[in-house]
Amino acid sequence: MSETKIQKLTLVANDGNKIEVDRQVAEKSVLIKNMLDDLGDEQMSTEVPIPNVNDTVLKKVIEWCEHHKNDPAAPQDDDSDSRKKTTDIDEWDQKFMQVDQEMLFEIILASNYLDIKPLLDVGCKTVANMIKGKSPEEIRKTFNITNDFTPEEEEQIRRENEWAEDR
Amino acid sequence: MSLQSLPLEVLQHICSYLGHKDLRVVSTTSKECQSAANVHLLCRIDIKALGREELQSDVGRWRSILERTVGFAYVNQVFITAYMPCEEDHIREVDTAAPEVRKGFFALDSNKVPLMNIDEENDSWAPLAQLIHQLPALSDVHFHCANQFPRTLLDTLHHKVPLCKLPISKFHLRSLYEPYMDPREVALIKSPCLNGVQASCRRFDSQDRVDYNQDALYRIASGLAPNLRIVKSYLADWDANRSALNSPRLIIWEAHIDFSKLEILSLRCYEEYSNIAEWLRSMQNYALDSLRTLRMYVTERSPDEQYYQSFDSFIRSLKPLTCLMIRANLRPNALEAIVERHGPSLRVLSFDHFPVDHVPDTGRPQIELHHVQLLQKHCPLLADLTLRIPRSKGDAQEVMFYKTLGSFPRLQVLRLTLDSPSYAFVLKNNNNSSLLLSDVSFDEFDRQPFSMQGQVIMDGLCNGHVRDSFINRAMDEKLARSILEIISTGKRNPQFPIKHLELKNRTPYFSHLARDRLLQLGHVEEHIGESWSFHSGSGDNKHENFVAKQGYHSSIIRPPVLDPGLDAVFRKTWPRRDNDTGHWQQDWHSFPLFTT
Repeated sequence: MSETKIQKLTLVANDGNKIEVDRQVAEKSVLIKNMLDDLGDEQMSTEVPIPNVNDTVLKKVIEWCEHHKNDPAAPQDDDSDSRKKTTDIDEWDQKFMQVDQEMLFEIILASNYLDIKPLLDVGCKTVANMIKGKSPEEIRKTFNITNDFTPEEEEQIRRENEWAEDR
Repeated sequence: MSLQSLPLEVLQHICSYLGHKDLRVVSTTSKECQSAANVHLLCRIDIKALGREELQSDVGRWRSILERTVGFAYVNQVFITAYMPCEEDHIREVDTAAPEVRKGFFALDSNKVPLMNIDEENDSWAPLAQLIHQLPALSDVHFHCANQFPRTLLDTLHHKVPLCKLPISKFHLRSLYEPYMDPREVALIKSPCLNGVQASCRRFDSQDRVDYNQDALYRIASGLAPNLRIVKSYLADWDANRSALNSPRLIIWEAHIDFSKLEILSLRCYEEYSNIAEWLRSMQNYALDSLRTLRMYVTERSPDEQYYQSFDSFIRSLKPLTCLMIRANLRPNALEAIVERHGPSLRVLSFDHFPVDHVPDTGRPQIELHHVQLLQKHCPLLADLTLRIPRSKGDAQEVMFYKTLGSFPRLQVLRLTLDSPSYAFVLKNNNNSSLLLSDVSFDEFDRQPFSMQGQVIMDGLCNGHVRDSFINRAMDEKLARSILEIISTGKRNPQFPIKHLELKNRTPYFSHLARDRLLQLGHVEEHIGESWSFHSGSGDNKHENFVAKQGYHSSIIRPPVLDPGLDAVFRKTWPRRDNDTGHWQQDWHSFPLFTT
């Protein structure tokens, strides 16, 4: 039995395409990392199926992991002050997230499934920044949201919000 | 694939980056979005009510919202601002109160509101107790009322959410004179929920009896309330005995609580206490081993060498702090002691070495560039800085200040008071030297004595001094933005961009004697010394994307026409042009910064 750790993994997207990555890069995904830890190297085949993510999205996610492979692990929120969340995104990530909405949501879903918290954060911040300052109608238009409220319900929510705002 | 096809938990995560205003908008777009936003919107609810009827309707309204959104489990915090009158007459008075009077009821002092009888109390607060009964995730109840915290709410907390924290402002015990304390108050001070109290204590109560609340506070803090973490105590009638605020009182506190566990300490000490230097020295005797945050407000009218030294050694005696906020008459050199001891650990620093603007200022040393460089070099973690920066008509020296501030590696929040030298300061300096410094650039008009109503105002004060002061004080959005630009382009680390910048002028000061005659001059200086603040609006950190807000502008009616002497200086500074409005209020602008 070999004692050496597996250094390369092959990720298999749901359309069968295989992508080879460094173990360090793949372990950005807590899902994959836990799987490797649980199974142990010897029982682990080097092919890891990722059934929920297609080839294009997986490549994009790996691109992000490659770039961030040396990032320190996210600090635990020790200060209660830092609870106030910022939507600042670093420059590389901003460029990375300049994709169409379809892709943006695919990346968010994939990072949620693969449990890559920093990528999920960046994706969600990007969407939050797209929402900020818009009117309800603009938000619906931007994200193609169907208004499923009756006019009465909508009016009631508006009134309640106004009331709560006056507190 | 669209926003709506994301799982609810992801939508909630997106909403966690939005403020309340945006969340309210999101909640009206669709049902799915509404439930994602509600987790954050309903995390805190505010109850505000005057009298029983209002409390009932307020609570009823929240209940209907929570029922419709199935949101009871989202509520973590309840903030209660209310006043419940006790006698019949009083209830009527409250019900019909005009808006200004209503405010007065909310601001009522707790020592004016006696304990209610138990039935009345239960009746008054019943609706709120029922609501709290339905909030399983409640973690904080903030109580800000002149009434005593009601027993019925306390019982509900103990029964339903025993780990909930209860901070009470306006804390006051009412049955200290009774042979036996009221059992409701006994239960309150022993409650494991009670986590913070804020009390204003008096030496004598409204009926001239000795007020025992301060003593009660010592006892409560020393262990009666097992989970008490925050105590704020103010001496309300400070005329009675000002010295009670100083070290003797800290000695009593030390006898009751373990100072080595204190994490945050705020101190206020006014100059009337005879010897602040001694007080500072005595402060070194406390083992403040866990202290992370220190706030100090000290006013010493006649600081001497001894006072400065004891301040330095007090600062050096502390364990490294993360947050230090000081308002005290100090020399900028005090920054050396601060940096040496706390530089590596400091995240927040507020240093106001001249806290009282309305005191004549004749020999105040200003912060120099090397002080700021010192901070820059030794405070790698500093994220939030408040400082006074001297203005020198936007010259290269002044610009260097902004550049240096821009080069702090982690600085993101910056508040600057722009300090132009006062006339008294200018004159004092000039008297000391035979060659007047600023006079080199003065022309004939500048050298003439400044006069208003045909009279010379201050000996030695020339037109040029007033003009210099105008140039230093004139702050409009254009200048504010160019300061912002210099500071934010200095930032090398894109991860820590400047997010918030505040710029304000110090308030003009004139001594009592001259004040009436100089009123108009004060109006002009106040008018042109605008305050500006900038907040980075989007995730993008380019300085054009900052949202600018003009600060408070005094509403004093400005004289439409200026005194001829003053008008001459004003027009010399800002000559009339063809397109001028003819109103001095609009005919000024800032002067550009020196850039190479």
